[in-house]
Amino acid sequence: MLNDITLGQFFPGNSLLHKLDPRAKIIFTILYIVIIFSAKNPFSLAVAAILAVSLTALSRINIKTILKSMKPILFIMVFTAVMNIFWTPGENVLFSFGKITVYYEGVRFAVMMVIRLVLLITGTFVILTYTTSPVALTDAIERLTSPLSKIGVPTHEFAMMMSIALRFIPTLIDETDKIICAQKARGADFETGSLLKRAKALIPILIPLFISSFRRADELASAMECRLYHGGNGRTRMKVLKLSARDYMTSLAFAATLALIIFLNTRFEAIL
Amino acid sequence: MDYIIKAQGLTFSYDDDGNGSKTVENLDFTIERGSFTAIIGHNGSGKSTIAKLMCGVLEPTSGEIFINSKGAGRTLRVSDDNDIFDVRKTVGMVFQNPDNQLVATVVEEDVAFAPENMGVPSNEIRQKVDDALRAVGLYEYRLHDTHKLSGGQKQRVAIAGILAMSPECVIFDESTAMLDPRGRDDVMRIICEMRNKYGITVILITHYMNEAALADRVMVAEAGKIILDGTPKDVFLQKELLKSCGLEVPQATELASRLHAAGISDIPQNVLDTEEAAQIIAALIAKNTK
Repeated sequence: MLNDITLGQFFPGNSLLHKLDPRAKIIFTILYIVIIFSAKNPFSLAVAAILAVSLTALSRINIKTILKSMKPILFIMVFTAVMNIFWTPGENVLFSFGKITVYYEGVRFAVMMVIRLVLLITGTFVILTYTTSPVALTDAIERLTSPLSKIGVPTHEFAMMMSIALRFIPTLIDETDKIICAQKARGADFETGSLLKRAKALIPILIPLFISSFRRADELASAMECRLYHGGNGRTRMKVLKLSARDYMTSLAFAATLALIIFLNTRFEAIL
Repeated sequence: MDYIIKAQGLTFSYDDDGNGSKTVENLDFTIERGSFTAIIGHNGSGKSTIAKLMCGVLEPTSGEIFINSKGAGRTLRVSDDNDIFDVRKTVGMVFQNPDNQLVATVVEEDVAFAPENMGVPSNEIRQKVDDALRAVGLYEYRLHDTHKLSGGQKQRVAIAGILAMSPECVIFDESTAMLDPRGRDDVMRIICEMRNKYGITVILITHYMNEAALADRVMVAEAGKIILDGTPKDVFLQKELLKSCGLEVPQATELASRLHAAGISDIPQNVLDTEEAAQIIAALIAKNTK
């Protein structure tokens, strides 16, 4: 029952976005966020939208999947929209209802804000989460932050911890499943009763899970030592990340979009 | 004799002060290079502790283990902190639970772990990883998710991970205990191949007597001591002594011994292999019906 948890929502594939260097993708994501927040009028926002749509098309991710990923943030979107509609002061009154007055500017602002949020989610998911495997991502983070290790930040250790955590999530899910079954076979009841009672019923699951995790950690540490692990010093990698022509082309596209948006911002009145 | 591992006065206690009960007490033994040794014993006999001492996971309380390493070109001492890296490079170890020794989510990344730690250049790692995966017959699975493999396949990945660091000796610490019969057969076949094809010294810790029968030397551990040491044929003749340690003899040996007790005195009692036993019995039947 716990097996259908998909971690990090990575969809394996062979598209251009899948093939980009993961380090480049982290930088593109940051650039993308900058682009979205620099778009301050409908025209520049439209340019940003074109970028988001083309990225989605390039990733070959199903549009339904993307719409589904919007669900959890639907509430935030509605909340932002409502707040902005009612609390933005303006000059052109759209309608008045008792003490509440809705201005044209408020509605315009709210619509643009929602579009910006949608673009933000779509873009970052398509560039990073959906098309990059968790392993590639930790690897990229380690390499991008490696200059920090010179000033004593344990970047390699962090990356190793992250990748081991990712490696053990399915193993521990299996284990939890087994423990739940074993407790159920002994008559444990996890489904009925008050919230407090159900929370208490989790204790006999968590304790064996913790104990076995410590045991696993101990054995894993021995196994890693046996395989000569001694930290990040002098360690080489089998796969060397290399920036290719596609990474440079993509960065050019991002730079061009950003330039265009800045240009449009100077030409039109800022709304956001 | 060209030895690879030599233990002298080896003693180990899990209590730090050394006064408590000793898990391993005053052992002396030598493991010949290129040999296949099985160490058997029931739970708590100290056999796993001996294994962990030999590859430097545990440090002896007193006594010493010498590793005659060709790679390092000299004799290493397990208790010397400066030697420990070379000791681990020479003597690899495969553990019992396959889940607890895989570090990466992708098969080839996991196999690459040891060479990466050794600082091998990237293109050479690729070669080592491919060779190791071919040796265990998992080359086609190199891009698979380690979590989705069967127990036997996971254990083969773990073996490939050790082979990739080109060890001179590999210790298997009950590596087949958690596997199904088929996975166990696969792993045992690879273990025999490692010795015969690559000349790697193999030390097998096990409580399956049929596996121990494949070795060319069997050591029986009991209460931290080695009480029997010899060829499988000689060791398994000591049925009563083995039974007193809570150990069984291989099924074929048991059968031969019972037939002998039932009055068939022609049957040799040091039969180990089921196939061999079947042939001997068939020959006896043919002779008697004539």
